[in-house]
Amino acid sequence: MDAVRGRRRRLPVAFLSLLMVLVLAGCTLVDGAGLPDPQPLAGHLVVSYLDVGQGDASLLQAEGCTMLIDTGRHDRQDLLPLLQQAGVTALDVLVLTHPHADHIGQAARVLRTLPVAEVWMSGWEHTTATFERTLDALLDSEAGYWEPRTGDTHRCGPLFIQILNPSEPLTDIHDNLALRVSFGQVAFLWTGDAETRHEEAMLATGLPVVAQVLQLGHHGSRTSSGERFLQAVDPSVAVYSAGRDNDYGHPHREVMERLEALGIPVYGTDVYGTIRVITDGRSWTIETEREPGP
Amino acid sequence: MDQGPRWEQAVVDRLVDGRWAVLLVGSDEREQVVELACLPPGVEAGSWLKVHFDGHRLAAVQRDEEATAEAAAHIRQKLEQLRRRGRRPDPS
Repeated sequence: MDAVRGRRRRLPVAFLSLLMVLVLAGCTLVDGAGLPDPQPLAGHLVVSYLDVGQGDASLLQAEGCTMLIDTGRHDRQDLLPLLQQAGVTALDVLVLTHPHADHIGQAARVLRTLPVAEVWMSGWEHTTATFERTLDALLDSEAGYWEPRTGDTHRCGPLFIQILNPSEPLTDIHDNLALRVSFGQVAFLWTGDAETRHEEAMLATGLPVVAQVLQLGHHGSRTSSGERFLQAVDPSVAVYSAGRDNDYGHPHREVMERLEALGIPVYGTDVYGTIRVITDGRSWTIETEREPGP
Repeated sequence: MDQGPRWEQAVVDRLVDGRWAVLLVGSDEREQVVELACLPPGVEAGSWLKVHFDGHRLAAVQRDEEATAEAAAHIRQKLEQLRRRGRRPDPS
């Protein structure tokens, strides 16, 4: 598939009136864009990399498919308000890439609040109470359950989802769900906390990894985003989710330098707040909640 | 009178960047990040521990193999239930 370069500063006409509302409401605008209404618009996919601190949560909204990939941290209660603000009343797919508390932290609350059609997990058997609460909520719900494996595919409305990882047998907790979601000619990639050895395994499968928007693995840690993987994905833009002044120094300088050398712009939730990509399947725009601070 | 160290249960939620261990401590799963080198050899994500914190300093730690095995058994049984449930039938 040909890579489609994104267009910035060019919003669909439908967004302009919404933008005015946001301006009047005092929202911060960045790059002349700001955050438009996140609810699904005809013929568009809206991907929101939600600012949930040092954790992960991405919301995908298209006509006929609402997906959530990871659910933020266990010690915060910020996800449901963000979903409600985005107009989410049900989920078609809830993907929990792996059972760390900064990725599944609020899954139980989501499952006990919203109807969820299907939950996908790696199948790694973690032992924390956060994970057990998630399983209890899942067992109490009517959601279907699936442990997809490399090469599996799924259609959710207009979205085509290809699973890039893991394969059996799972080697460790970071051998987690990785997925490429395509909408028309525009593709997005999530790799959870997969490390460079898992990225290499993905490349070895021969499955397509090219994506216009890449979420950097493991919050931009040096354990992930190897050069070969970045070159193969060939993203137009990279996004990471991390908390400001986090304990681990994410994103790591080595990864930022690697991206700079490859000419790949990067947006982080620690700097920009929630980051939103809107695509019509051919081109895309990116908007952020706030401007970088001093 | 010295009551000795106050032990709490904790579980290793994750190892980060080969250097840090993120512990969830007590029933409220309070997050404490410690150097991996401070933990007994062989500890991995999912290991249960008995810990004593002096403020934010990890003053003492022991592996709790029994709690680890018990939690793993609960989780496996629940995951097996979910695997038997399987996917939602395709409405089409």
